[in-house]
Amino acid sequence: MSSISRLKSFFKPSAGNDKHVARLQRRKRIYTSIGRVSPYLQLACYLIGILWIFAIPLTELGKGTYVDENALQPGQVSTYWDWAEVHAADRFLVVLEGMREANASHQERAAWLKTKFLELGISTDTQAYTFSTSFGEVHGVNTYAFHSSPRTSGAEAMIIAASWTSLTGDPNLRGVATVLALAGFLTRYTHWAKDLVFVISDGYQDGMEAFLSTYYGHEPKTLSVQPLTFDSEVVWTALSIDYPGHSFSHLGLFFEGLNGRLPNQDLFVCAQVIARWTGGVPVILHNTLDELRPDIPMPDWLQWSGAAGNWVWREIVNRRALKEWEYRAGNVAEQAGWMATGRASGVHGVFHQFRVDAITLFARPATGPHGFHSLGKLTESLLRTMNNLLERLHASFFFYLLSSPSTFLKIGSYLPCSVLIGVGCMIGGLRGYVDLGWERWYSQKANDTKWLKRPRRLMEGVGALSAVASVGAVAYLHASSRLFAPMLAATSPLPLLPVILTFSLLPPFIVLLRPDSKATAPLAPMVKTCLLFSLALLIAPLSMLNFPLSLFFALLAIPLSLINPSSGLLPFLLLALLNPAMLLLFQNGRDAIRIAVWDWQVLGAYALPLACLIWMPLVWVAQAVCIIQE
Amino acid sequence: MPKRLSGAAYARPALLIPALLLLLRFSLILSPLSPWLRDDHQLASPLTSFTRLKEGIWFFQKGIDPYHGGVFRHSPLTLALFTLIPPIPLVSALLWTVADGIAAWCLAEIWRARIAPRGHDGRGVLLASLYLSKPYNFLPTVALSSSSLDNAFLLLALRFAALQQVSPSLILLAVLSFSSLPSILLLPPLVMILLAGPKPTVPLPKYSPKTALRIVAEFALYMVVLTGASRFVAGSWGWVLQTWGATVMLPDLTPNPGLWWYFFTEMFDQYRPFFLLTFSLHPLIYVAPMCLKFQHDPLFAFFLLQGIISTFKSYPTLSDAGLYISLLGIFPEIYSHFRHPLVTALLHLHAALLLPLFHYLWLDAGTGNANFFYASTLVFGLANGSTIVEALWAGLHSTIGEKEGWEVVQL
Repeated sequence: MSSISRLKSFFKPSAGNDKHVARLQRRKRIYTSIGRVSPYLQLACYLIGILWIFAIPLTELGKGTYVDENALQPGQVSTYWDWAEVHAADRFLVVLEGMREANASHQERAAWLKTKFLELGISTDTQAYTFSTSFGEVHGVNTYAFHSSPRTSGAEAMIIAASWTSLTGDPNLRGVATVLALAGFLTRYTHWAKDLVFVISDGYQDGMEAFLSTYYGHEPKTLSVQPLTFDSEVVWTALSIDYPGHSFSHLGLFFEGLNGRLPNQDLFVCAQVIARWTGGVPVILHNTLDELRPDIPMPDWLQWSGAAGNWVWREIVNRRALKEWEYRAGNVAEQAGWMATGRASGVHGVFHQFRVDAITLFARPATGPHGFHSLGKLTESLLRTMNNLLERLHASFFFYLLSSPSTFLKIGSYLPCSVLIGVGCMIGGLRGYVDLGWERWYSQKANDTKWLKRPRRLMEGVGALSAVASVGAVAYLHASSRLFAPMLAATSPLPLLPVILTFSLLPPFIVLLRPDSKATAPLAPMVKTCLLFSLALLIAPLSMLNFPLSLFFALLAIPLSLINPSSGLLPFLLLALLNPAMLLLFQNGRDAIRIAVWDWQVLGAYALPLACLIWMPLVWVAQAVCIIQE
Repeated sequence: MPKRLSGAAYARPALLIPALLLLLRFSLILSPLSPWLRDDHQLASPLTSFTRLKEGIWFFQKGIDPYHGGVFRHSPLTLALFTLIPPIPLVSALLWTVADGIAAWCLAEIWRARIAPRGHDGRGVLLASLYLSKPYNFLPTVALSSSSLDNAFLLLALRFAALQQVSPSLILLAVLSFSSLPSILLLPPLVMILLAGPKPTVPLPKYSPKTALRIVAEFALYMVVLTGASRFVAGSWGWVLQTWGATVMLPDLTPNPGLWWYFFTEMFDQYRPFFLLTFSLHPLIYVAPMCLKFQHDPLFAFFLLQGIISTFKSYPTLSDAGLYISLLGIFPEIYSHFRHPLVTALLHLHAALLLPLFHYLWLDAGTGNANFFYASTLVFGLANGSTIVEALWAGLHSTIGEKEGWEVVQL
């Protein structure tokens, strides 16, 4: 039988019958075959999704970066920054280094910065701020200066910023000196169509958060801050200059903002083009050098394999394509890590929430060859480029993964991996729901089995899910309390053991408190079905908001969706390992949680509420599915 | 005329839930949440926005024609109402809360009228509570969108129709058609309810053309009187183009959860009249088939048509879909005949997540563009359409019933 006639007979069975009967039979066949293949379809979705993750760093999926907005014209201007400005920066640096040696207070530093801005003839003031967190209070004093655009009044603004602390944790002395020298230099020119705002923020990200939330009038309750004396317009672009070392070899670009927000890719590409062609500085992503790893020599214990082993080593392990893949995978993984945890990779990260495109120019510490000269020059050129903007940068150039400084992935080439896993959950949920509506009924008299319809316990399932999930609020309240914060400083997990055990084992037992039911349909598969639906509803929309985070939940969803209902204590305990409370067992995990709590209370990064209100409850519900006995 | 059921029949403690829900919205309207939501495109359209209403009243009180210029698109009747009761926070909060309370009460009353004289279980209170707690109804009220008032008018008209009170029902529908023109399409099923009652009947009721004609004539009279009154309030005929005209001509392309705005932003001007005509006339084709097919149950025809209107109207808000989903609660007998209830429910859930998300990405975060929100309105349209098709199938199917080993091929 040819394939076409087989296909025909599939859709048109038993010829000669009534056409309605044929239609019904056809429909039944289609439904049955969908039901039959659905488990495989679900697994295929998972599998393709996972394979796709590994495909993301492939060069074939990437695309060369390009400037989308024609107005930008990066690197098309003559720059004027020269050795006189470098000298000025050096003179600022001498004083700054003296203040570091003398351990100057926040106020002293800010007062000196204010004098310097005043000497340069720019309106300036300081701003003291205090964040109250569950770890205690965070104080600091920002210094800011406003220069109105000489061209037009009421124009948009650009911020040139340096934080006192670098993203490496060292004092950002040369960054601050660069901003001061830039302030003296840039304000001499009349070609600015935007206001220039110079900010030396105290601390690392907290100072800028305090400044920006005052600037935009969004002070959180935990912040007490002095109001600003001067004011400017809407900020479109911000550059944060981070130069902690003595000299630098590469310019590292940091771009990931709070809660997985990214700046417009055009800003990144302009910085890359200008640094390369105007500044003459090689550009890297983050702090990762753009070098492929060296060949790995074959280990001694594999020498016996002879020619075959040599071939594997030469053609696979040390293959250039694989090294290339590893380099790109590292870059994507770092970006995904920042985005999924919702942390900002630099001071620029606090800008994005106010719809400001911002990046950090990180001067990678080295013995040379670059210094103030190239950094000032490329910053000047970059500001001139952003000065050209007549309208905001284009929408939908905000979704990208950078695999190297000059290649990126468009949304269409990475989105499918998490969405496919979400679709897999949806298929699993639908199958579970359909299955729950039927019951095999065996009649001994007739020695015959029949499928009977039975009512599903949808509302009970949703109820169980909500009951377990609502405990997340308790976890959240505990994690953000003043009780919990000091415990994180412990060097051993012992004092935290009660917390870990309580939050990883107890909450699922809430489902055992449910009222008795006379229903014949089982409850555990219903709860699992509800869990699968919630996962599908979570993963797909989230992929548009924060792709790496949605991918994280997609990967979490796979083990959660493969558990068997009522399968007992062993899977219950294994699932407990997926609980974020387990992080408290490790020193790194405790540090990560401390950062998450701090970031949430100071910067509003949502990793902490997310872990308590979504991640934990998902695991609990899966655990509850294991222990519900019918 | 059937005996009216007294409110005392409700179980007292159960009434606490709707009361609390009303109190909640009253306090939320007075909270800072309300101004924050007020101009949200999903909750308030140019025809129902409270901000525009206040602007129009300000113009009107200053002696400037509010219908001059494209800001104010509320009906002159609404204008008259709010000139009498000033739109200050406390009064508005009270008005919108009362309107929602009336709407919820009407929903319960309609249900009771449909099942009477069988005993009344707690379902009426349940329906009212669901109506009040549904975010699609709740949020537009908090945003003081006048679509919540429109819902109250519609449910009140339907309630009077269900209780066979011809004139109040017709007056309310006439008032409603001034603020929401497409609702005029509900006249045929409303007349049928007035003639045959709110219950499904076997055999088919006999509709007397003479009485029907008399009812339609009465409605026409109200329309004429109200048009005259509107002319008197507004002082000129400018309001016709600004209110009714806006519904058909779509002059204001502010985004909304409906299917029109994006289509017409993308369109070349020379095609506009043709597609405006097509879009405006399209809902008309459903009226006769629905009314003919559901002669035995005009209330169901009314329900389906309301769904079609809320899906296809030019300036919908979420409360239109909310009303339709709430009305579904009056027909529990069809639930077991749904074909894919879960798929429909999931479509609605996805739409409910994607609408605010893509709206945020486009207009707040600035990382997305209009296509994002448009895509989510398509999902919403699909969800609404699927709800209508489900209800239509289930409504027809439920009249046949089910028989072991038998399948319905065609309805």
